[in-house]
Amino acid sequence: MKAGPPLPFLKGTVDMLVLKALSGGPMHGFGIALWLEARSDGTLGLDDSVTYQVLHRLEGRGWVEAEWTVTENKRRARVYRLTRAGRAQLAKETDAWLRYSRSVTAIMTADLRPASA
Amino acid sequence: MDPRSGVRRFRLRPRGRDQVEAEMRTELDVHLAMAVEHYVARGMSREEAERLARERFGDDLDATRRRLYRSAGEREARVSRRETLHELRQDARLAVRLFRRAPRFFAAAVLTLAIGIGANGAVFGILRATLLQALPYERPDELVMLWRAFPDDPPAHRGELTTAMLLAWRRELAHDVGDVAGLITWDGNVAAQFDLVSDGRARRLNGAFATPNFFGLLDVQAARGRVFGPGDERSGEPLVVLSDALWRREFGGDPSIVGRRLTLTVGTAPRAPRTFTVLGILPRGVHFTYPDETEAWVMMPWAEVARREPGEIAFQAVARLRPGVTLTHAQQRASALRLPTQRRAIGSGAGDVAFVDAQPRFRLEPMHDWVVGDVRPSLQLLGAVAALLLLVTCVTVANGLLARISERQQELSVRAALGAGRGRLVRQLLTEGALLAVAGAAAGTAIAAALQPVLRALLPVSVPRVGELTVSGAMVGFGATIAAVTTLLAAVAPAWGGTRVDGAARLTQTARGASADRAAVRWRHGLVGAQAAIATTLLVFATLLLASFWRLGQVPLGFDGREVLTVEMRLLDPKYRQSGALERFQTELAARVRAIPGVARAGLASAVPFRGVDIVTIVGRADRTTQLVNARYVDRAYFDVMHIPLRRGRLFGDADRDGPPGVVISESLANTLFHGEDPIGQRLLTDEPHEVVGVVGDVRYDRLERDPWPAVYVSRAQSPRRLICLVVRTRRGVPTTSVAPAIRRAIHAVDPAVPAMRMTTIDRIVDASVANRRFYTLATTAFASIALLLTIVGLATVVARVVAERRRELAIRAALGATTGELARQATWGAMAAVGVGTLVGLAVAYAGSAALTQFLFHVAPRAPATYAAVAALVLTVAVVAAWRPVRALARVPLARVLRAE
Repeated sequence: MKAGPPLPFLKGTVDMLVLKALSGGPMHGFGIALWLEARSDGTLGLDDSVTYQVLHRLEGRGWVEAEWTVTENKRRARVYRLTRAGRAQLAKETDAWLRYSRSVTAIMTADLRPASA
Repeated sequence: MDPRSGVRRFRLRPRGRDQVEAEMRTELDVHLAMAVEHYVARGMSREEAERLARERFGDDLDATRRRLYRSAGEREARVSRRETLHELRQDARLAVRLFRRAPRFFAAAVLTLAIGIGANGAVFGILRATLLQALPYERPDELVMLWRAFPDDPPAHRGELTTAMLLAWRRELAHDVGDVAGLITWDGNVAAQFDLVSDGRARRLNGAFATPNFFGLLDVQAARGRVFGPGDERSGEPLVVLSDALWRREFGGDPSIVGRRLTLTVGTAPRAPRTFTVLGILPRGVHFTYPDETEAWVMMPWAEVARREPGEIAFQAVARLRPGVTLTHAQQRASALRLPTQRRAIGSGAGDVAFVDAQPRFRLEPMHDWVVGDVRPSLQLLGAVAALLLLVTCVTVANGLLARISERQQELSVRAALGAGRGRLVRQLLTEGALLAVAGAAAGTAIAAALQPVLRALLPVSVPRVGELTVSGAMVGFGATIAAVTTLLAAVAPAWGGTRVDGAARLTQTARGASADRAAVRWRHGLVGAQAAIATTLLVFATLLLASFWRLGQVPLGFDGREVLTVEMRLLDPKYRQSGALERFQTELAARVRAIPGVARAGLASAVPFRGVDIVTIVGRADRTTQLVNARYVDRAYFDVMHIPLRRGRLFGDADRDGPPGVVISESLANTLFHGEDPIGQRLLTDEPHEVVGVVGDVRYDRLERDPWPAVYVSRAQSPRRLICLVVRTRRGVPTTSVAPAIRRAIHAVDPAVPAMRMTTIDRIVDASVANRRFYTLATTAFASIALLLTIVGLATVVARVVAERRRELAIRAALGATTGELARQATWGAMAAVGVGTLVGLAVAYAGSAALTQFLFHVAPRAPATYAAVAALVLTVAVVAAWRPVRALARVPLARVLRAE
């Protein structure tokens, strides 16, 4: 199901999404981009350059580390993996996000019609 | 490595911008290629696949690339910062572990540093309170003191201004050079010594008359009430401002004193009680004069100044230079002023006195120099000596670290083999040094803080502003700075010298147990040499100072002030102008004091040596040869009490009262004025003719360092004076100070309105005159001794290590028939040579630096070869003794066992 034009991504959540992408195992930049695309059915509409900026930020904070490896296709690729600190950060952000989205959802779906007598 | 810290497992070499950019480019290219492959695999044409792959990066691929290069650069910076931090933590952990494994080394190093840093911290505290801390006035750099100087005055002479000079500055220079305030102060003029009479007890205060603009010029506000200002000039009301200390001492800190009236006896002619309104209390810390503060400030309107004699010498003056006016410019402008000439007598010590008319000049002196100028050189000496001590402690610790490094060669080699670069190893060692320095600085600062009260008690009172000595943030800051410097000094050299590691070679070498690394040994010898050099320099300085102090102690005073009590009085009350009043006072006083049980003898003088007002006068012979002399007004008993020996003739007698006035002269005056003729019976001209009746020994009158001046003693019975110094010697076995209360009562009984001032013993006066010298001599000697001690320990340690490291080699030599003496030479040669060279360098440095020491020396040649030879002999002897112990230990080792053990 293709759902309309891509949504502008929610600032701050992309870091969390990239961490989530890496929680399954090491990936290179393109792999992460594909993974996000596949999971969101394209609704997030993430520019690939944003993926790299996010990776730079995460690496700078020590949540992600990178290493050059050789792919099956004999290509040199920079592969990213979660650090232990990154894993902890992901757990924290996931928890916060779930609580946040649950409250927002609860409000947005509340029945506001006046109670009938 | 802990993955949680998010540090790359394998540290890539620090990368430059180009490399980061190249990597990012590769990464992007790979990304694009993968995307194309991805789309082609989904059945797209190659062109379409490439277009889509590129679109994934937005519209402008080049701009995107640039953005990503930048963000990759930022990432790199952050990562490397974190890695550095991580490594530091790692280093610190390792260092702590190592120190825990070698607690004795750690404790010794920290203690050494603590001594060096503590001594420096304490000295810094003194320097800060006196030299560095600004005076408690606004923009104190603009404040200058104005003095009157003649071309032949010594450069530091501080002559008070004449009325004409003060008014000339105010008239000509106040507008464009700087406003001026005039003062008549207690330390220059008895008129400003105020008497506060309360409860029938008279207290003499350090007072000052100040022009109305004085406080405004200093920019000092009152803590309570207000200070007087130019607006009060015309009020005509007598106003006084009190110091904080006086207010607390005399008025119990009662705030209601402000606005009340207060009676003070002020002035000289006439001196009379006057009623003042207390205008305000100054803030604590405004002392103006040091070490004794000015306690009461009476306003002196400019109109009153203008009424004084133009030639009267009475004023101290402060000017505040206008912004942009330099001291040099102000001095030039002041020197250009035409001032009325003054008649002055020239020729002191020996030869005729001549009178010349000379034009006085202004001498400008920064106020801070006026406050601390006299003690600045000795404090600077103290600072320099402390800095040298710090250097020795740094070298000591450096040597200790170096020894530890050679013990740890194997560990370091392993780390180097595992890929730690030299920079990394150096940093590890620096971290250890820093850890030591921080611990040392903490302990040192604690020592310095603990020393503060001791120092405050120990410092001579002549050091101004010691009262402001506090443990402050600045001191902690100083400790931290010193710690940083120490780290650099103590750890850089060993780190650099100790890490020249050729990993593989070292590993195999150490495994074989070969001899110690020659380079490291050379380093350590060099450091021991440096220690010896500094210790030698300090010892030479200390020896010169000690010799000076000793010489000073040998100086014949010309009197014996041991167990003599003295107290001063000034009969300023107008009633003492009546004829006979002074005689009555002094006769009755002497009689009452002599009647006190325990008092053996009591005499009177106008001044005692090393203190008080010296009256300088001109005496001459009938043939008109003249001489400037020190005149003292004494009674006969004075010579007895002070043990001033009679050389010829007689002392004053009762007969002198009626006959021609008789005077006693000093030996040096007898020599210069009478050139070997018998002075007894000769006429001596002053304002009236006198007859010389006796000759007494010379007395040092001013300072131990200064030769006696010719003196003439005039009988108090004939010329009573308002200045009275009572000197009292107690009976044998009666403590000197035990009669003090009885003496106070006696003075009170004669005239309750006369304050008894500055009661003390002559001993203490003489002692105080050398307190400053004693302090820096002791400090230098103490610092030099510590330096020598550290050098000895350093030397012994190095020799012991060399012996330990070369045991195998020495054992082989012994097996081959070398004697113990030969072995000892071999083991100690390097260290002893270093000490020898160091000693020579130290002597050379001391020789070069001794010129700066000259001003502290007394009858000691700063470059006397004997001093240098003695110090060299001391250092070398001590070095031999220190090296002997480890060598002797070597001789006792059963060599066969050493060889088998390897």
